[in-house]
Amino acid sequence: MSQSGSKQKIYFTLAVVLVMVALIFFIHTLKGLKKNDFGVTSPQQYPRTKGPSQAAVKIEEFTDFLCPACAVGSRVLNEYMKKYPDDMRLVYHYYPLYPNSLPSAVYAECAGAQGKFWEYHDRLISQVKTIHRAKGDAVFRYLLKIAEDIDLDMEQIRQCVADPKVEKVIIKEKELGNNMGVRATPTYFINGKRVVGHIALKEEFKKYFKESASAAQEIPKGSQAN
Amino acid sequence: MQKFNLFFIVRLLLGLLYVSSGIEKLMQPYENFVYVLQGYDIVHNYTLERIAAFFFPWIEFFLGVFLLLGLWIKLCLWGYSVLSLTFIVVVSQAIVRKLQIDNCGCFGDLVHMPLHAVIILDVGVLVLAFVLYKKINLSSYFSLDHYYSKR
Repeated sequence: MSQSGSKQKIYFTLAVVLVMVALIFFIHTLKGLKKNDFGVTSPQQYPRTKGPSQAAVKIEEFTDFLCPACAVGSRVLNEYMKKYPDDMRLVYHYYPLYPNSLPSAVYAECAGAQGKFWEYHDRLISQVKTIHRAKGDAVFRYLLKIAEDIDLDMEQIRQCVADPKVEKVIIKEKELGNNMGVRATPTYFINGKRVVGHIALKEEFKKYFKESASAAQEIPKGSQAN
Repeated sequence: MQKFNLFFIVRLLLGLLYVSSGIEKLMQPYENFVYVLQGYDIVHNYTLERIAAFFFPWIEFFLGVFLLLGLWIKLCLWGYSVLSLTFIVVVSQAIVRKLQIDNCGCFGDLVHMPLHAVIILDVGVLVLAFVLYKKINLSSYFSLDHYYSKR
């Protein structure tokens, strides 16, 4: 190969790289998968929330009740929410993946209708393995048992879980997740920033609360927002 | 009439394999691939995991594109071998340690593969890359390398 041929080959390579990178970023932009494209959804729209609405750290989670990593993530969230009760707001979204996940979500939604979503949620994730492995009617027996344990109105629960609208709510939530590029659970959006997995969640919290702790020290007392 | 060239076909297939694997990951938010890497429990450093998750799909994608175009074929085949060996090591340690990974994450959402199948696939890629390297003249059929070598 002559020297000019070699140069041309290098130029052509660079051109291919540039065109391909531009093309991929263009498609990404079209798909709207950039992290900052997502705002935190309004609390009115999603009733499965906890923490003050004016909290500095707003988290949306897309999880499956029966995914072990989601259970770990949930424990991390609970730990931080206990530590920083005024600084965090959590919005829960269903993202069922396994065969027993959908009925679990339906029961949790119905528990939510009686104002006990989070109690049901915490009981469910403490029994991840049992419910995940359960087959046939055993799943529903476990789910009803949790409802009994947290003193839900059982008649209301039975009526609620039979209502097809409840299942539609959950499917719609999963579609929302898909549109937001959620592909695995647990996926979180912390103030709009995508974080996938419980390890990443811990890392982000460490970073975030360290930063806000140092920022808070710089702000004189009394000038902080309530 | 031009004789049927199996090496050319294999080169195209290997190229397509890496292009599809790379593009599927590139089309998803890279944080999803960070989570896949964390599942293999090998790096233990969040920053490194993020760097790897960001660059790995690009490397796969460009190796595939260049092999399809027949540009820097020898270098690409080295790249394929190194990547395949890396995948074999990473996946093997996951199998030995019995890590709970149902889907390798190699092709994003496109194809779900169990870990044993990944080992077979990567050994296959490694062997084919070696064969193409050994028969570089035949592999370079209808390639830009061939075009530029004549200029």
